[in-house]
Amino acid sequence: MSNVFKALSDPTRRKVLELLRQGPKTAGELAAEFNVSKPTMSAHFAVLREADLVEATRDGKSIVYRLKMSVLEDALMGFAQVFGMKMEHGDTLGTENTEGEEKP
Amino acid sequence: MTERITPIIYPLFAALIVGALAGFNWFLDPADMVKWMIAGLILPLGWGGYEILLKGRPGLQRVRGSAILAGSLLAIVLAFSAMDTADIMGGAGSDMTKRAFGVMMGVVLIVIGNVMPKHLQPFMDNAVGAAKAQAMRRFAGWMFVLAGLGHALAWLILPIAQANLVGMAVVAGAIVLLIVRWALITKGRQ
Repeated sequence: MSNVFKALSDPTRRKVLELLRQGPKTAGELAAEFNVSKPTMSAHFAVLREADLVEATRDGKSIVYRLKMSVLEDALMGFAQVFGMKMEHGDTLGTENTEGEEKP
Repeated sequence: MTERITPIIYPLFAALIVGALAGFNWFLDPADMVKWMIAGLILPLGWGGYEILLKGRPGLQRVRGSAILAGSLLAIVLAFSAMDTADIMGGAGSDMTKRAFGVMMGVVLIVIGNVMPKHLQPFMDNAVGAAKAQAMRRFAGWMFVLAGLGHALAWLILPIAQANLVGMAVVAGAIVLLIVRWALITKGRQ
């Protein structure tokens, strides 16, 4: 469960999950929504996969991400969005300012 | 992209609980030996068979998850059966047992609804498209959880005479909403 809290503590990852609520998207489509570098984005995806909140499947050359959240996790994300949850779990990605990072 | 596997100890524990409860029922009601043997062995045999067949292959997670859920349901039924036979809490006909059973049914709905969007992943994708299927799965999960909460609360706080009616109405309402949503989704596809 701590993986889930860690994943939901970061606004970028919450935004990724919000985008995935509309339906499955490729890694490229998701990355295009953020002004962050590819490695940072990959690290965010890895955290979400680790928390089992998204499922990644390879489709040709691209990786398709789809939402894999239980109702409880969905509700937790809702709370996190409403209250702007920021929890410290030694999560370096969650504490760094990924939104402002420039793309290489 | 690797499958997250539930440790074998959880379905094993569920099978052991079911076996123990079936054994207790057998002890209380020795005349129905075959019935209690089937109840006690169906989970270890069914789950164990799949466990051997799927060793090292994808799909093991679903089998273990299903075994835990089936074990929980069987354990609830066997526990109530034992309570009835041993006349614990006044047996199955008492108000207390009825309330406990009603709350338990609500909890079962909550548990099923909670995991529904997570574990029914490709379900309906081909029928209505991945995005709409995902929306439907999320909606269904929330409906089951809310209906379960309503059912459990009705049995917890309402007078017995109204608890059944209200509990059933809440669940029926959720099912109607699901059907309407499904009809709207499939209609929108045409």
